[in-house]
Amino acid sequence: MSTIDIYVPRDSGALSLGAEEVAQAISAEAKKRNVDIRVIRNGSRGMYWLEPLVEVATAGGRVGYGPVTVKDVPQLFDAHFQTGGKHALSHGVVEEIPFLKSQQRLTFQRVGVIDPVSVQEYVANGG
Amino acid sequence: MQTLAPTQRETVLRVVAAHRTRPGALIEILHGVQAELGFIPPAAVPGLAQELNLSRAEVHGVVSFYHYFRHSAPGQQTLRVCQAESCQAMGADGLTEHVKKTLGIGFHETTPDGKFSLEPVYCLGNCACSPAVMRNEDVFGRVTPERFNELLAQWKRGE
Amino acid sequence: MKQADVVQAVLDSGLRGRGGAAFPTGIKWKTVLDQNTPQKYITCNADEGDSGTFADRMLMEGDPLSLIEGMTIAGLAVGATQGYIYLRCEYPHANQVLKEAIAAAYQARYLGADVMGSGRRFDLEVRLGAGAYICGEETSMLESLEGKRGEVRVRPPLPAIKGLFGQPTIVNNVITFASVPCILAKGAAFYRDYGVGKSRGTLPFQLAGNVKHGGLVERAFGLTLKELLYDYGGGSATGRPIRTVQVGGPLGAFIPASQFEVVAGYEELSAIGALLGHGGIVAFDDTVDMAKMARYAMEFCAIESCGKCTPCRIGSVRGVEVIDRIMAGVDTEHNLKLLEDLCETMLQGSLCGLGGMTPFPVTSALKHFSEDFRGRGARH
Repeated sequence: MSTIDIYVPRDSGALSLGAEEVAQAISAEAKKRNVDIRVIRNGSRGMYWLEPLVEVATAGGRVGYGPVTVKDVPQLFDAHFQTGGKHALSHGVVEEIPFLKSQQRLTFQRVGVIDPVSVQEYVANGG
Repeated sequence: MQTLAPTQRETVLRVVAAHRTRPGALIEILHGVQAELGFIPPAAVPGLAQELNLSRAEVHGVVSFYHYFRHSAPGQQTLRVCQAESCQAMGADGLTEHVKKTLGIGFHETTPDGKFSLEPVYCLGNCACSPAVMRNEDVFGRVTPERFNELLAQWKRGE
Repeated sequence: MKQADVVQAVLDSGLRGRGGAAFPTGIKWKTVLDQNTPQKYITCNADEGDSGTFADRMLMEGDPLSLIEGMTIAGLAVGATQGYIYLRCEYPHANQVLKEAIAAAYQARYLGADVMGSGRRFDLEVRLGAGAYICGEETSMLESLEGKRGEVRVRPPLPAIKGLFGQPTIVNNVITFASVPCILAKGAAFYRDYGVGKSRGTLPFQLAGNVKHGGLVERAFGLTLKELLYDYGGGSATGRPIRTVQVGGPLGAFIPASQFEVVAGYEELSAIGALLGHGGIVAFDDTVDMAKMARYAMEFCAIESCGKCTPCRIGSVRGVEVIDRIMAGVDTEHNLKLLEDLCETMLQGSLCGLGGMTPFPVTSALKHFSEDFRGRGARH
């Protein structure tokens, strides 16, 4: 099985709601359970009632869980969130969420999608 | 007038040297000094003026113009409570009263035990998660009086 | 692409300054291109100080390379070799991300002596503000970049002709610069075809304050405030009715619920005496005290005044005093008239928008919510 990409924002709004602690908890829990993940710190999608919004890259798109607190992390792993498993905090594929889907993100097309300091990802995503 | 402690003087000179080639860098220099010393010692002003070929009045003018720069040492931790409109819409007034009462100090003051200084701030860009509070460089959102109490307990424990 | 062609593309796209003044970006760039001096500057105003705004912050923390690219394009287009991002010091995380992104850009040769093998130089660095709202005003920002007190300059001359250190300078907002790569990649017409009237392209609206679904909504102009507040925002966070919104930051008018059908565009909001500005929308429920908000508008102006002109520096202080008397129920009618006169003076006599526009929230509160100003003292 290949490494799963899990996105936890480093946006200061998300950090103000505990995203740093959540990122650390996810890394620690994955190690404990021997689950092969890579945590990527993206920007925020700008849906702050869902932050910290944790996204998992699956074949069907990026599935979002939020708002996630440190207490939720073990249960998320129990529910196999790392493969998009069902959980009360799941919102399905993030780009299908109506708030986001109905927007016209020309300038913000990459915000919350990519690792902000990766030139590679910038170029690969239309930069 | 107080004199600069030797270590303070050394810090100021080092910061100035690091920024010497940058045009218009006085504010960057002041940030550098405050980042290390916690404030801009009034006794540092003549030396800064001399190093940068400015008048003391000019340097003092810049320090006093900008709300971020302080003339006196802060407490160990600096708390800033946002006072702007978005935070007001979500109860910043009530939160501010609670914070002042809990710490026993007002704005621009430091607790007697030296642990906390309290300042107003006008917008941290966290407006979708109002009310917001800053502790040193960390921002906290959706801070109710209850959440503030929890956070304060953590901060007191040094977390 | 030739320099003149890049500038023309920006002109044709209809891009207007997203900081709040909405000045056609292409005209600014053309002015600087046409100046015949060896040293020019590109400056980005990232002092996003309006309450209710966080689009700049999100962009800088989420996709800083688009800002860096936009500024580099500007530099190459007008012949500037040095760029500065003036960042408010209340954004330490953005500072960190920008630092990392700039380092990555230098590594990838997007910045430096030979930008992408073009043989042209462009250097970029971040400079921090220090807690002064007025430094969001462009000439005050330039003074601050020069290491001085952020006092507002008299214009003319325009920064495009005599700006930073007296040289031709572009001053643009974060979103303005970040929109440029898209315009050049997809063409001016693509961007221009979004929008209505004179408001072309998209705007990232920011929903803030007492709203259930706070966040960022990037849409072409044409949406109404109502759609933003309810279809996107989900109404208030407290569940109580939204009584008013303040759009455009502390200098924006308070808009009553009866006017929420207005289209959120520059000219459309102007027409009802309001301001779109940077697109921040702060919602208040019906527990808001509008006299208190008017008092805050004056108090904020007093705290942030650069001190240069009397109407702003003194007028704001008097404004707080007069509103205090109104809130205490003292001589109400006389003091209300006094407040209106004071607002008129500040409007006409101030050098810049801070003193000149502080009357907007105050007079809009007086006009639409006069009930909050009368009958006080008894219940105070």
